[in-house]
Amino acid sequence: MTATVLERPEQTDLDFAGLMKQHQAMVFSVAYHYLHNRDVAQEVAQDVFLSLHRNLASIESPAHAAFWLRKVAVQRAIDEGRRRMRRPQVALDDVAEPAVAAAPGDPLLGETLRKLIATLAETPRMVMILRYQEDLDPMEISEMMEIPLATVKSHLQRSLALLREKLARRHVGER
Amino acid sequence: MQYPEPDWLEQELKSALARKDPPGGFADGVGRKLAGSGPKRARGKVIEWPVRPARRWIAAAAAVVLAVGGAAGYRRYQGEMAKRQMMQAFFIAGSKLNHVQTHVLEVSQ
Repeated sequence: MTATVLERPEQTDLDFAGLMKQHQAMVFSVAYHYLHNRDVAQEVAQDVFLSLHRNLASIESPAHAAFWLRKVAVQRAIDEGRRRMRRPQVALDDVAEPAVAAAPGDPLLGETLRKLIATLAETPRMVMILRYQEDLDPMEISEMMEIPLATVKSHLQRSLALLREKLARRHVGER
Repeated sequence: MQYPEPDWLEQELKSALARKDPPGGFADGVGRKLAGSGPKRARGKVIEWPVRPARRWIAAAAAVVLAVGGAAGYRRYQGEMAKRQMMQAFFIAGSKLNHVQTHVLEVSQ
């Protein structure tokens, strides 16, 4: 039944199952890194693909589909974050101090960074995710989130400075 | 525009925020939602309300007018029926009285 639904041809040459296979990691990761909750991120990502299925007729090309999916994933993740709490899911104080200072390249540092990003306010958090997960440049982020370029740059600088400060307290990155 | 080379923190951020695959069964979950979304909506909404608020108000007002008018009409119909039944009862009682009166007169003569 599921396979039939996914393979149902729409009024376009775009293959829904193929698009989902190609972009599911991107959509899920935007939601997961923003919401910091696997189950909720999966729900959000599935809803994004549900919307894609409903709007498939208006999608013009695979590149348009990728842009559309990323934009809708960003909007849905922000909406879900607002709906759930209206504040960061992880309080800064809840980020455990590692017993041993993590070094660059350490998996422990990766988890610490993800938790620190989860404590950022909604706009800088999404800016950081689009910059470092999606590798978008500030101009692309500005267009994606419909905010001024200067704001994007300011969020990136401030967030990086904040992370450096927090990590310095943990003696990470001192060489 | 040229951006400076990423430093160690930016490299770590790219690594920490690398894309991750969703949990297993992701596509099946989407398929289930797709299969369930159509019939569920159809079952949930028995009455399709007009979308625009103005139209909704007009529809609601029309429904109220119809309900009030219908109730008044029904009450009037009930009154008419009661009046007709009472007239019929009077007619039956009158004919009975006439019959009795005729019988009494016959006996007395």
